[in-house]
Amino acid sequence: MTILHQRLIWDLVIGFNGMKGFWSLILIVSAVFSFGFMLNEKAIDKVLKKSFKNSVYEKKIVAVPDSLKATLGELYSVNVDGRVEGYVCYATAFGCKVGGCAKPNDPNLSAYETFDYIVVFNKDLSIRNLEIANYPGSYGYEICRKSWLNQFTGKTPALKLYEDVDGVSGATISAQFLVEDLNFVKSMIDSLK
Amino acid sequence: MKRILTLLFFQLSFLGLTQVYLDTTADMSAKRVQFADIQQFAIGSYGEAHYNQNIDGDQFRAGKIDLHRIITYIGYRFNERAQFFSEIEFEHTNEIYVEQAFVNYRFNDKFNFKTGVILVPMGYVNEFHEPTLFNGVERPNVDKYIIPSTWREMGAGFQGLFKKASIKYQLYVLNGFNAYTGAARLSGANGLRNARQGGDESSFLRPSVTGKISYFGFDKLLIEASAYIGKTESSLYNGLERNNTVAISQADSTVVGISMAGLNVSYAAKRLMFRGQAIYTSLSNTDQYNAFTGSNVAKGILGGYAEVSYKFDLKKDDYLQMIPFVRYEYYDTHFKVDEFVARNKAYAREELIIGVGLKPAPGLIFKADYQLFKTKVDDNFTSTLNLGFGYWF
Repeated sequence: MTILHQRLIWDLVIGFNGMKGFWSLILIVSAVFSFGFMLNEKAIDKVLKKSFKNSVYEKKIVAVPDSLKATLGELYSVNVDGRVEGYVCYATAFGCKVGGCAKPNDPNLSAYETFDYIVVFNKDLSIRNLEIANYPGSYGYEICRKSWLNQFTGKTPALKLYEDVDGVSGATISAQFLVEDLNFVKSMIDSLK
Repeated sequence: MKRILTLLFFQLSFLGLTQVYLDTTADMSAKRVQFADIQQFAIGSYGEAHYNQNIDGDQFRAGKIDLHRIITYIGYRFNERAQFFSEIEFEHTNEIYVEQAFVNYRFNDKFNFKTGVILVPMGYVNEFHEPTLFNGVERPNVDKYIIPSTWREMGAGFQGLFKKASIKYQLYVLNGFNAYTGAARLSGANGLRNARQGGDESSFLRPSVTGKISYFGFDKLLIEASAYIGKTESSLYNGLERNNTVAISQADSTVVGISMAGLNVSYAAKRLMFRGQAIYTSLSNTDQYNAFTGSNVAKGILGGYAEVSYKFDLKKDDYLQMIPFVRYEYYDTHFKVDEFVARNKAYAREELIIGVGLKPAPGLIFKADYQLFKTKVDDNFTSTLNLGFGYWF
């Protein structure tokens, strides 16, 4: 705990003196600036390290055309001993609508927030690991729940929410979009193989 | 997804990179096409209409038909990090409120700076109050009399998501209640409800602090703990000389300290859903406040509810959900009183609500419920039939 943290807690809990606590809040927030976003690549490496714990692997970029970049963000093949053992993709899916979640498959998706996830596939395109990389929305964050994401392990898209995987209360829309997006990513990798 | 028309592989010998090109004419769904060129502007709405009919065998009772609220959301995304969001409400067709209007600046998942008119993160319904998200025609009364929903004030703070730790947190410094504006605004019957300011030329002398921690690490379970600490405002301070000790001590007696703590849980196992909530508010200096203003506000306010619901899918291939539920509520705005106030047992209220929601689309719900209501001084329950609909898009 840094001095700043302690100062903040002191101001908030014990000695709230006019606007002092408020400015401390601002200070803390600006101190946090410096951390910034974790780079996608770093996040991918972290997930891969976990997924291929006991092997020496090498990841190779699979370049995708511009039209697919939005969803197939970054795609790598994971090679062990020179053979492709799996794939990893940093992808973006739709989350909740700005201000709430009501209507999946809304034709006007401009209003939807997005979130990023990292999926690791085995060679046979069954899911090896699935993690949420960024979740900016204020609704539906429960899809980050570990036990829910673990359900995907070993399953091969195309998946159906409520049949192949449970729904998640409080995150109906994000869960639906995530499943749809996984199905899409899998089919894309399938056609790229 | 239609077939990809053309696939071209180019082996690039240098760096061992494999580059793959797909034909850009490949058929993408609307979702993908818009994705790359995402719009900035979002508009939405929710609303609910209610019909409440008191049922009494002996007397005529006029029902109440009310377009309770119609809301417009307007949001704008300035860039990846900065977003504005507002919720403007028409209540009972002729009252206008701004329920939310804030800017959220995102540094990363863990740290977001938020400022403006913000919802106090207390309990479940105050934050998530859209009619498709709670059961029953009316919002739970615990979320009306104990948590004064929709409870929002102006301020700033931060919020974020620790995904690995399965924690979402919110921490805000907000403007507090105004307990005295020439007359008492806190009362025994309504508790804090009439003292909300909500950014409407609000009096601001001392900030309040509020926060919530949501833990979603357990399977199927969400646990949230909320807190609010602050002192109320009073119109008596304005313009007082700093050395006028008599007037200041008089003004001090119109100030009440408020500490509220809340715990709510949701457990969802497939189609079965349990939701529970308990809120306790402790108020200080109420003896002086009541003596000065003639009010009868309590020292302790308690409320809670437990609810079980079940989701049926009525159609196999189409969306049609039926959600029966039962909820028990208990709330007492005179749970604890100071020695100068006589405890009014009529403020200890209990309710049993049995009802059903019918959802022909995820954003549309028709509701019907039967509400049994009784205070501690009543022998029998009075009944109300509630009908209504709500939408959210």
